[in-house]
Amino acid sequence: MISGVWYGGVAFLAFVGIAALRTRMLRGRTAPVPHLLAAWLAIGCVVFAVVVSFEPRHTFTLATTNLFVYLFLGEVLLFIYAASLGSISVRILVTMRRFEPSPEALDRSLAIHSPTAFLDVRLDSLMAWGMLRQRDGHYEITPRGRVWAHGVSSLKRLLAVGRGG
Amino acid sequence: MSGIVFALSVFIVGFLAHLVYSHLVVVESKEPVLIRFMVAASVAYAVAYPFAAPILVRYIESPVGAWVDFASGLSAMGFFVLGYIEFWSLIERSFSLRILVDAAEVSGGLTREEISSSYSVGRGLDWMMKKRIDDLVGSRMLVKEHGDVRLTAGARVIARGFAAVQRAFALE
Repeated sequence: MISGVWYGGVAFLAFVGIAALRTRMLRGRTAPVPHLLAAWLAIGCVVFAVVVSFEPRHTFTLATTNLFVYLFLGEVLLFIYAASLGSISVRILVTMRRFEPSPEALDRSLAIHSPTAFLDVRLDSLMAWGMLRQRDGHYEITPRGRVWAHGVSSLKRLLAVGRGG
Repeated sequence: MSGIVFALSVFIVGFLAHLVYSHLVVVESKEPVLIRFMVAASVAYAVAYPFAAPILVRYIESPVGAWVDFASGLSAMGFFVLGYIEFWSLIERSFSLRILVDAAEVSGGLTREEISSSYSVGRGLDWMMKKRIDDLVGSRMLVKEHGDVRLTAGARVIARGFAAVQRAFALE
């Protein structure tokens, strides 16, 4: 019975270890979230393959249950990781806690996590990903960026999320 | 395995219901609506599983026992629900994607200052930050007291948790 979740649990622990090692060893050198996303999916494939190889009975069922246990736990970690890294709201909360009980905790947090600082980081990322290019002080969208922008606009309409932002 | 199949079915119903609701009903704050739909779908799975499982095992192999089957179905439900919430949030509020959409709507490119002022169809970066603060107040993470804005007790716990994650993964 335990074989229904055991492989998934062990794989999750391996993913946590890989995520911690990866962020410490390659700190600041590469974009972390896409790499972790790739590792998460790759380990999922390994979990499925290992269960298929080692479980002679009920193979597909056990591979599927373990896969979903692993995918869910890994997704929770990715969610927390991505929010810790890139969410403005999370950054404000964490910094405010550091400044409390000062009544200016929010203002001091906003001074550190200003929208312009976030804008600079995002513009650099968009250029690194080939979505924007800079010419004569202007940021222009590339053909690749236009494809993405069109896809996002379509999804905004499909999901009825409004303009958002 | 029957738990996973049942979780997928319940999620699809919850997803379609949320999609239809989003198109039919205009609300100011969309995120709490999404969360309510997904929580309702998860609760529906947990409540209906004992009734659905005996029917499903007639057609689907389930060698792992009822509790493990329920737990793996719950994991699948969590995977679908969290995935949808993350994807929806990315499309609705991603800073980078919004910049990209704004840039695609003008010809000749934008300066840094123009991107800042035209963010989200002319609402600007200050609006974006105000929206984040309002969302934190709306979700009871922040509370306004005597002109000051403070963290709530729950927000302090969450902030402590995220700070620990930032330290553990060297994200500070």
